[in-house]
Amino acid sequence: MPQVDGNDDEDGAVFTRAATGDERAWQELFTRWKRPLLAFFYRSLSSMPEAEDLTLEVFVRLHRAAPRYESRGHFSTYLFHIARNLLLNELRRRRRKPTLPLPPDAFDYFPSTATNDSRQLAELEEEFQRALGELPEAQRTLLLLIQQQGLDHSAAATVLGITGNAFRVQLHRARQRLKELMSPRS
Amino acid sequence: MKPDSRQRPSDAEIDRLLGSQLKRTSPEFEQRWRELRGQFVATASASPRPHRRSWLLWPGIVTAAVAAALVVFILRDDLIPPDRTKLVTFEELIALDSALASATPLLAAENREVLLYLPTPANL
Repeated sequence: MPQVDGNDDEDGAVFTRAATGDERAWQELFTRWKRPLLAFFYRSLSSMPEAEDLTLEVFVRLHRAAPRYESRGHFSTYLFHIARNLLLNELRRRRRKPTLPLPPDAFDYFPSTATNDSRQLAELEEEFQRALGELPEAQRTLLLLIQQQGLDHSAAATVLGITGNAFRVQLHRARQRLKELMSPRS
Repeated sequence: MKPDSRQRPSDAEIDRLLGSQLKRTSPEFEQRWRELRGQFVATASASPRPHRRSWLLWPGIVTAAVAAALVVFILRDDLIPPDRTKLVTFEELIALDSALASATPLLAAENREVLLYLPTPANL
């Protein structure tokens, strides 16, 4: 999980340099954010080709917005605001597409004493991705912003456009719903 | 229906899955990025980025233009030669003088001097 808050001001400064056409600054931003963005889009859409397209599109949007960028908040809030808008556009636009699941070895699951057997992990990964797909978009995005991207609560609430109270309620509901969806069906 | 041996996932497992990131990216994706980065840099060198505060320039120009217009409007009587047809007539001056006669003693000496030399169409 990326440590977002500690590097946010630094990212904003790098973006300001990138906006002047600094190639190394663009590369720095891409290196830092490509995998978080890919994971965010993949978990939301279950399709790696679409995740790649949207990740690059985020950088196109950043490039377009660069001359107007004012570093007033967390860079990650700005970044995922763009990412979520692109995601919503994609979800509105797309017809039901077949999912293209990735194998578990594509992910860097952090160490756990629980399931480490590869077959069980594959089943768990498949079930997790299916359950995520069944969550409402706002709940799924909320969980991903907090637990996948490490955004703080206020930043995630800003990206989703909800209040702090609504955020806490939604977060609790989202976790409960995800667990229910992953539970064995009777 | 196949019997499901799985248990309800633990919080730790949920956290583990939610927190997972991709290990690697595809070479095609990296190539597409390099092309895109090249376009960003080319665009920036083709059209230099405007100054960060350039958005302040236009309101500044508009404000300056309005201020200049107001100054011209206010001072235009000084800029335009006085229209002689609009000067008060001698009869009006006499009437004014009569009205002010009782107040004249209250005026300061220098004001009285000015009043004595009020312009008339004859001496303009």
